[in-house]
Amino acid sequence: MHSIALPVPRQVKKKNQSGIPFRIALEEITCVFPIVSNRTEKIQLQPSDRISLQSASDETIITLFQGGEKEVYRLLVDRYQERVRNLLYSIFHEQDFIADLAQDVFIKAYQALPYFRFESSFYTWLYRIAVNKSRDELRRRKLRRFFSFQALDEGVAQELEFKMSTPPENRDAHEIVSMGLKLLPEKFRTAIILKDIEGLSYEEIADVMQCELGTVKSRLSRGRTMLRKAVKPLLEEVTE
Amino acid sequence: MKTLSQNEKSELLSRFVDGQVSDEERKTVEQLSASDNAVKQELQELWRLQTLLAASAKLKPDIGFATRLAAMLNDQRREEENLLPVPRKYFPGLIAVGSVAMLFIAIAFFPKRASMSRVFVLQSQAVKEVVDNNFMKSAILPLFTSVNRDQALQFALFGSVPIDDKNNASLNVDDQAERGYRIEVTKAKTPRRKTLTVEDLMAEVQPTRNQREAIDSILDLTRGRIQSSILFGDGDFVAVDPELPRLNKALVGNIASCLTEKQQTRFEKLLKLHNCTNLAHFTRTRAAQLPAMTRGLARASRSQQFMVITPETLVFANIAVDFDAISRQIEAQEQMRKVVLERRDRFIERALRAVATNDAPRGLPNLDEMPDIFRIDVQPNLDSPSAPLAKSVRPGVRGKPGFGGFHFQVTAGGAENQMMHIQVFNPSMTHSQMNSRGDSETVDPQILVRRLRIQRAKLDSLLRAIQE
Repeated sequence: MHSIALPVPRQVKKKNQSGIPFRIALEEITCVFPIVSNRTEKIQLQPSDRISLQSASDETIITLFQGGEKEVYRLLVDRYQERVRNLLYSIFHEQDFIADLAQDVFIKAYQALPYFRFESSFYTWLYRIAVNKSRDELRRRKLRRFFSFQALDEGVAQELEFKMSTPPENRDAHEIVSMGLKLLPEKFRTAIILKDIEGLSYEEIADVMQCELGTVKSRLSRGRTMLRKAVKPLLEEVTE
Repeated sequence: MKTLSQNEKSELLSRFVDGQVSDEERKTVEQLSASDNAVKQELQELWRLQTLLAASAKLKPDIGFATRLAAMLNDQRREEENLLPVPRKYFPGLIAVGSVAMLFIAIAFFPKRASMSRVFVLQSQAVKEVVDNNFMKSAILPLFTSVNRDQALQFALFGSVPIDDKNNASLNVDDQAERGYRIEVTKAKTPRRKTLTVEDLMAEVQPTRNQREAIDSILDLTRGRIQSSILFGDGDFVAVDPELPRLNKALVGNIASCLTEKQQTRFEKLLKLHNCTNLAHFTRTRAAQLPAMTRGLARASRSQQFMVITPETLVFANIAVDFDAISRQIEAQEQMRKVVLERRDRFIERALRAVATNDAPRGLPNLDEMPDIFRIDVQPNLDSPSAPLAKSVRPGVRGKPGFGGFHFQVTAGGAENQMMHIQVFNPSMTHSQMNSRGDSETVDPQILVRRLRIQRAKLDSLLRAIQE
């Protein structure tokens, strides 16, 4: 087997020194391209390689992407689109709008991926982009509501009111919690979604939300207290 | 066990349900839960919430998502490529060629860098000169640029406004002259008397909030009026609003009419205490409505008729200048303010020299010793038997039949250089005739400047012919 000259970013080398399993990634790549000749030109993927890449790690795919093989990006999209869409859905609860926002997230990630420095895992990095995008969107909505002089987005309050007015037997505990979640301020809501729905660790949440670990703990605690108080009467009715 | 606050307890429980507690903390939570029902219930609620959230509705997989995204990315890439003038693959080559070209240009110009920087310096100087010569030169500028409320009050009470502290120069309007009034710009040798500030006035009369606002707006109107009353321009002319002396009276009267009877008494006492020269204007009036008073002041400030004085001539002219715009510009631009102040200083000196040269051809007097920069005395024309003892020069009055007109005596340069101008206006010789133009014509400032220059040139040539 010939050795291949992969365009490895400097950051990867650094990471490798600090213990990230770069060797494994390299081995994976050499397995992916078994018939590659003594090459220094751009990597050309064969159809069979693509199949092998399905099981490649995120780091491997990103390294290939940064080496000029832009088509591998689709693998990352396939891998994470559902999680990103669900994250955004948990934040906004608007199915139609989520598709556009998720596309924006992946376009932004595509543009920024050449500069990805392997300092965090890809999915926390992608979540960070998604959270920032949703923050922008929430800010935009707030502004629009401010400048329109009437609450265009009164949906939340109205919906909760609707839930309250519907007979208890028709209410669903999941829906009540989701609606209560939507009423929380953005920073508390995002922390709870990342922890309880997406199952991220405290450290990963701190990375996504770009804040300290202590802040994550406090946001989770305060958010849960607020949510608990908001939905408690409704949940009691459902239980009864 | 340490007593925990409610917040600490909540955070501990929150971490507990996440499994992020130490052994010791776990024991604490278990103890709390066993002993405190509220804690137990909170824990149960937290677990329930967590379970409900974890099982919250998920979206169905979107099969076409990646394809749509790929199409969008392709469109975007194509758009970017269409925007570029050359294919992207030539970029590295183009950048390399460009860098080499820049290097050559830099090397070629390196020995001449001194001359190049000189070109830039000369160009910027040239631009500055063009602005100075063409834009600023023919401009008519106000002599006062930043009169504050205190100065406006001082003017109302003492008839004096300082032009600047550096030269101790001030504008004095004396309406107490026997049969006329005097406007003078003076360089006082002695320090000015102690001034009466707005705060002193307020402390004495103790106005209500409304009264205070009324007085402030009257003072603001007066500030604007003073600033627009005396103009100067290139070609050594000064333009004075002949209505200026009426301002004192209007101001003192208006302030008094804002006050109650008791306050008026205190105000009068204050004026006496400070030996106000314009005490005569103080008359006890009934409190007036503010709009009526300010309307009167505003109307007075709309006058556009000015006495335009040069070393050779005295004419009346309507000068239409947008003072608000000029003031705004001057206030907004530090550079502009500097230029105006420089030009004002130059003007004062130049006017003084011109006057002194004309009047004292044997040699320039020592400028520092001159007490007056210029003075305008306006007196009714006593030659006419029907002359009224009017104290003001108003365009309407001048046109009345049987009115004998006024003497205008403009003096500059102190006692040695008296009698600069003596001009008589009467109904048969109006300013329009003097100007050989139509009556009540509004003169464009630039045309006025040009006209004055022509007059001056004519007089210069006449003077030379006489001397020869």
